[in-house]
Amino acid sequence: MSLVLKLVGFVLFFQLHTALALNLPMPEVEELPNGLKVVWFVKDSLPLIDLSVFVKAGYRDDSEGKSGTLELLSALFERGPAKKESGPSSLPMSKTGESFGAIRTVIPDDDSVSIGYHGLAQDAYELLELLGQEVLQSHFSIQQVKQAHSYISDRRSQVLSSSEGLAQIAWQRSVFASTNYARGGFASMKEFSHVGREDIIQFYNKFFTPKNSFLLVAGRVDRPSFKKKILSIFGQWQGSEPQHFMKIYRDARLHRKREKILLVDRRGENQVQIRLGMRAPVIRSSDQTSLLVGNAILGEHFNRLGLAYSVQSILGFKKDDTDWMISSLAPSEGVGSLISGILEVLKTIKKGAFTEEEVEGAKVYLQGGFPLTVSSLNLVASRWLSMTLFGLKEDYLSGYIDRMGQVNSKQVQEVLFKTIDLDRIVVVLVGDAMKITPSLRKAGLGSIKKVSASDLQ
Amino acid sequence: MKIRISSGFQVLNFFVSLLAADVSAEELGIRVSVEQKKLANGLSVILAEDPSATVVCYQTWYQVGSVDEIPGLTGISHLFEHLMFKGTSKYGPREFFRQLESRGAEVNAFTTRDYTVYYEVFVPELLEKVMDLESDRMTSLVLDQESLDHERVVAFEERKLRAENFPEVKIQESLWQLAFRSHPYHWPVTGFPSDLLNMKVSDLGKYYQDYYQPNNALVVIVGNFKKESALRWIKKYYEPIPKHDRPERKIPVEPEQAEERRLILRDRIGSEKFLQSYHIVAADHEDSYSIDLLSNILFEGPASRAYRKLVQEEEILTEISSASYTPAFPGLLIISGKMRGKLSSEKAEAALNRLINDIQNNGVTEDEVRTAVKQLTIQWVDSLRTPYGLAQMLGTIQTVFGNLHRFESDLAKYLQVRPVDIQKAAKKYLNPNNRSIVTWVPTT
Repeated sequence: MSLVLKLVGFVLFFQLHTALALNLPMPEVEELPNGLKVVWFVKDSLPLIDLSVFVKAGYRDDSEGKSGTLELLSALFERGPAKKESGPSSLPMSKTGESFGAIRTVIPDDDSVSIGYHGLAQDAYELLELLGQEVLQSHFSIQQVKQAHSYISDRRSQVLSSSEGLAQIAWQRSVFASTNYARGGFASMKEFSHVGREDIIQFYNKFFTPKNSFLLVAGRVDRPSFKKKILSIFGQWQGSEPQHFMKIYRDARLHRKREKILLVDRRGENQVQIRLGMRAPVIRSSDQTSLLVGNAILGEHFNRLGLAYSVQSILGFKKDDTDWMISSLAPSEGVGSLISGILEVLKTIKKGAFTEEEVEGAKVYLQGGFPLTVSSLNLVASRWLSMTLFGLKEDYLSGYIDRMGQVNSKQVQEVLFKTIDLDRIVVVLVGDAMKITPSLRKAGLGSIKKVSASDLQ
Repeated sequence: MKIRISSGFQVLNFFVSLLAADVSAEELGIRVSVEQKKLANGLSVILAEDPSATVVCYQTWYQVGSVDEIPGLTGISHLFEHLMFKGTSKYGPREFFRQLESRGAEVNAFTTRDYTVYYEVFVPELLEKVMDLESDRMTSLVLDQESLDHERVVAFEERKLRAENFPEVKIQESLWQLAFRSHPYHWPVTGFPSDLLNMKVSDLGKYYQDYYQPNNALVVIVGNFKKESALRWIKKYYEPIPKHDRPERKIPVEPEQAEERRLILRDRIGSEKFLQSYHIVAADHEDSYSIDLLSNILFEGPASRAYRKLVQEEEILTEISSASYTPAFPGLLIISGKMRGKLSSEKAEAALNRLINDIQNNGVTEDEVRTAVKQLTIQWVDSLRTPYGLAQMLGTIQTVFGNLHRFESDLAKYLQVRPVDIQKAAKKYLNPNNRSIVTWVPTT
């Protein structure tokens, strides 16, 4: 599960406010005899229930040459897989879920996939039964798989028809090149055309096991009787802890030799999608908190450029890697000077050109913003699951504000110096090459590898 | 529910104990304690204290939106929203940033057709500062040529960015222009560019004086704060602002649409998209409940009639959805769809007509109504999960209906809708002469 912390600027002239005392709900975790961990966030203020099976396997676990497998499996869950006895149509099961007015959520990403229901607490027992049927007794018919396959191909074409979608794909492939995150959920239409029913069944059988999963129960529920229901549905689920064999991936079509910039050409665009940045320390690293502070300082330095359009700096945490992405959307004629400006800021920050006051200000900004990210039970539960997947300590959330308070200026300088490598910076642009190139050359940024949108298909 | 009036305050303890569309259902059991107050200068205040919350949400609602604009000054509400961050005689232009955002607060605003809202979400110790800043800009905003010129550029850029990068925005704007001819819902909230160009500082000054008044404003505070302190600060910061009546709303009535209207847009997109609209009612009209349920039965979720038929069975669409916009004045039911591959939207239109005709002729089932009510109940409860969500709901109810009691009674009204009411609504509103269609076609 990717945890993206979006951090922009702040200013300086104030004192650190008093320590914030957050009374965050913490879960109780119990393990069933078959190894399934049940995570309880019981709270009865609202008549809602969130139930989800969270499986520790993501896009990275697609077999080599079979990327798109988890996308396809997720689409089947999204559309409502059928029970074995209900024939090829997905309708019977999805109709049951809908009759409770519940919302089905299927969220795949690089490291995990979760399948769940969000509904009224009064329907919790029926929804649990339904979730159990979907996750444990699903039958993927040839017809269903064919329909979902065609649906995903179409959806993919739509992503590739937007500049933002292209920028995101090109960025992930470039920044994570030669790692097992570079492929994302979908390497190519050609590769996806070889993914079929047997691949999703193989993925499902291997990774959908109790020892590789959590069951989240969040909301208004009577725990003792609900536990009995859980045991009756999920108690018989069998399977062992799977081995993960992840391959590294590099998209040869996007490989840059000496070129500094990857430019995806889209004729007729007036604006340019800009992605610029690098890899950064993993979330478990002791540098992580200092890096968050450094990122906040960087955001403020971008603000000082006085641009008419916004520049965002985002740390995207994955389980075993992190990308540090600076993004913007700018007019074609201004792209060269904008990139130069961003690079100059990075250079300055790397040298440690910021004050103690800035560091303290960034800490206050982050401490003050943290309560907003945990302002509801579902937000806390979701963050707790991410933290667990990432292998962070249980007090990660409750200790966040204190930990932030302990960061000092030296630590921030060290992590920024170590992380910002201007020689290996990744720059991805999506826009009209004819309009962009003069601006880049004028800014001394003429080393460009140009590809077309079809290279990302 | 208990209502107690004491020293100018109205204390409303809402206990929503609705039977959620099922005879054997448990009570929803939601308790929300809300206090409502009106200052002598006309400012309305709603407070909902929740000590378990991690944050406070503070919203300031001004009852002015693009519906209050006149031709030649379209977009002034949205432009003004930008100018509200440009500073006052007391606090400079970056003060919201310096005092609030730099301490982790979320500070933002949005303009709609009917109202404009400024909001902050923050840790409890910032509450007094928020009141200081918000009350200050209600009365002491600095409006000058330099700010206007700068924000005009920003507004243009925002419009360009939204229209160029989010086709949905452009297609939506086109649809409202097609569907409304006399009513101010005709123009986009961001206004027409030519009007923005011609806007003067004096226009903005008059607008500020007319609408940014305590008598035209509502403050909603939800979350972790102490009521006594909040009320003390409300008095301190807002009571000195003098009362000033806003101009009366004189909104032209939209004549009944008597013919189908169509528009085709061409652009560099992968697959065809379309929007259809039908004129419906305003939020306070009794039919709005039947229309909401009709919309859900047809379009909400994977087992809705349209999704099952057009996305799953016939596989002609990748997405289909709808929204019933029932604002302060009669609004639109909008249906939007994305075609599969190179298919033409004509196919979807024909299929949608068949689905609508089926409901008009044969009605809907009790089961479908029950499901739709549950969907709406979940949406309603979901919005109470965060202080922002509850503040948004209270603000909307008070601004649109002028009656906070709708908080508890609104949901119950859905339970009174019968299948025959939905069939009637389908017959009354979903007819071709009441329809406008915009298709967004790939350039060849």
